[in-house]
Amino acid sequence: MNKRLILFIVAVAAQLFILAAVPAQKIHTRVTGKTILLKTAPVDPYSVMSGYYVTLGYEISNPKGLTGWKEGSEGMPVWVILQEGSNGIWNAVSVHDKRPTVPNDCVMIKGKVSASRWRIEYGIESYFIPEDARDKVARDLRNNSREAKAEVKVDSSGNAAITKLIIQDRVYEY
Amino acid sequence: MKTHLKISNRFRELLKQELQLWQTDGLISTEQSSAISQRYQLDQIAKESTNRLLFAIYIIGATLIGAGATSFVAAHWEQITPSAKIGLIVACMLTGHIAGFYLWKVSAKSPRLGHALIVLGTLVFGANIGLIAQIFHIKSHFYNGLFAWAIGAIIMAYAVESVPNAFIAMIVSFIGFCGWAGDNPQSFCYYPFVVAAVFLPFACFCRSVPAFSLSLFAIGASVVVYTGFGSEMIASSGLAAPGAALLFFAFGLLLNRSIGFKAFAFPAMVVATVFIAFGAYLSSFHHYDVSYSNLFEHRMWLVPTICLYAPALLMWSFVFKTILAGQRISWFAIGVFFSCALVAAPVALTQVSVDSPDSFWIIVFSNVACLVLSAGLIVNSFRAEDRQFFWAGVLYLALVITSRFFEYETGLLIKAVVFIACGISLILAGVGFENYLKQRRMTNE
Repeated sequence: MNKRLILFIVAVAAQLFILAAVPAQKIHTRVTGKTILLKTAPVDPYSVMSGYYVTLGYEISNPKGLTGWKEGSEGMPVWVILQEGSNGIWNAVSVHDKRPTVPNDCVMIKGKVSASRWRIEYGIESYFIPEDARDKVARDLRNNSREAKAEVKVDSSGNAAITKLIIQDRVYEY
Repeated sequence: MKTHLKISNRFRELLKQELQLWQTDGLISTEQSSAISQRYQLDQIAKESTNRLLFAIYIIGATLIGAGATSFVAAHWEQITPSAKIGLIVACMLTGHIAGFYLWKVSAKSPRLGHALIVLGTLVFGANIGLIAQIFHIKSHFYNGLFAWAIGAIIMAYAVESVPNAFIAMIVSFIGFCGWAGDNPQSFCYYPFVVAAVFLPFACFCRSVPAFSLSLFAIGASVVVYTGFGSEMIASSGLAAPGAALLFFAFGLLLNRSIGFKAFAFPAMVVATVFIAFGAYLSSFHHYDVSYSNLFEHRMWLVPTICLYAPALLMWSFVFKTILAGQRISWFAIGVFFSCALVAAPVALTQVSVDSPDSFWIIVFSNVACLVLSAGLIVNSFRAEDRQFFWAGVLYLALVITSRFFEYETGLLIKAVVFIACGISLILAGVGFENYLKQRRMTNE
């Protein structure tokens, strides 16, 4: 095998590696993660769509009143313990600045303090919607923001990946 | 075809027509006509023309098929499962690369088509990064995707010695850098160092003047942009731009003395001139007021800026030593050097000196720098008998004069007079210069 061919194969392999690295964590989370339901919280009704993505807020994004919460610096990592409620929705119980021990009936989700310093972001705040469904989903979300839920997978390290958006009995999965 | 020049097809077609006339008129013999025809392969023109037409048809046909396939996929995109989507887009990329490599490097039957397919593969790679992010609902800063694209592109550029792939990497990474610098003005700026370490060696390795010029431009422009975000505009145009100009011009002067890289010397000087022309021009406007500015309030921008000045001053000290030893230096070099000094010195002094000069002196010195740069170019044009220098100097001077005029005077009548005067002066200067060139040619003959 000559040198030129080897170099070419290395270059193609490098590009494939980069393509694999982009979603690697999300794939791992989807494959190994536990499925939970999170309640969305209303966001700015006039900017539900951000380009090709719908912007989602969650009840667990607001840590006020949670055990262990103190305002942190932007980008500071935090770990939030979630517990399932009687309605199947998972709610935040406590927030920690170091990785905690997770009780048996709970799930740990990793986030970081947002730029506003009083909210937590989990990397699941954007959901891509195809062009032909964009208007319909944005309108549904705007009109029924209090009844929207997101199905999310969370792995053992606390990484999360959104898989479905559920508004009343309508499921949006892309 | 053995010639020392790159011969255009148009020249060969004209030569073929003229050869017949020369032979008919008895200017050349049949043997001489045959020798010229063989040297320039004039009997191959028709065949080459057919090949080019066929190639164009292939490209158009392939583009149409590609567009049709893309439309078909787009129409059914939502019905395709995520795994199939990923398989499809990766297959497109691999097809471009593999087919391109085969045609270019293996069979060598269609090297240009092969190279184009590899470039297409890299473009598809970039699109794939965005598509995969969409499939998995990943929303990150756009510059992260661009940097990933640039990494893939430069690796391919090195692997197959492809200048277009390097261009993609440079352009895409520069756009990404501008986005990153806007979000992180106080973080350490790696980009100019990465360009110097990755792209400049590639340009030297491939002996590519365009890649070399673009690399230098990327280094200088990234420092200028980063300084603009990290400090104020005046630091950007008044310190970073002259620093880049000083470094690149000295680099060009030293390359001119080298054996293997002489071809890079003039492009380096041109890039340097662009930076000082830009820096002096921007700094010459009267809206800067540095009285309340502390350019050094945030200092991270100083690191890459000092990294421009330090080697520049070393190189210029070497250049001055050779001048003292009797080596001549062009008016072009003198003009650039003094322009840089005239722009940078007052800006630095406003921040360093206790009795600091105010903005007025920055504006005056910057305008003088513009005049000095123009003068250097114009005088050099007479010495070198080169139109490029002449028109660069004259047009830059005209730009500076009209800009000053628009800045300070709004009367329509005076505007009309100045415009007409500028136009007449340009014409007279151009005619005068052409007459000078003509006289010099006659003297040399």
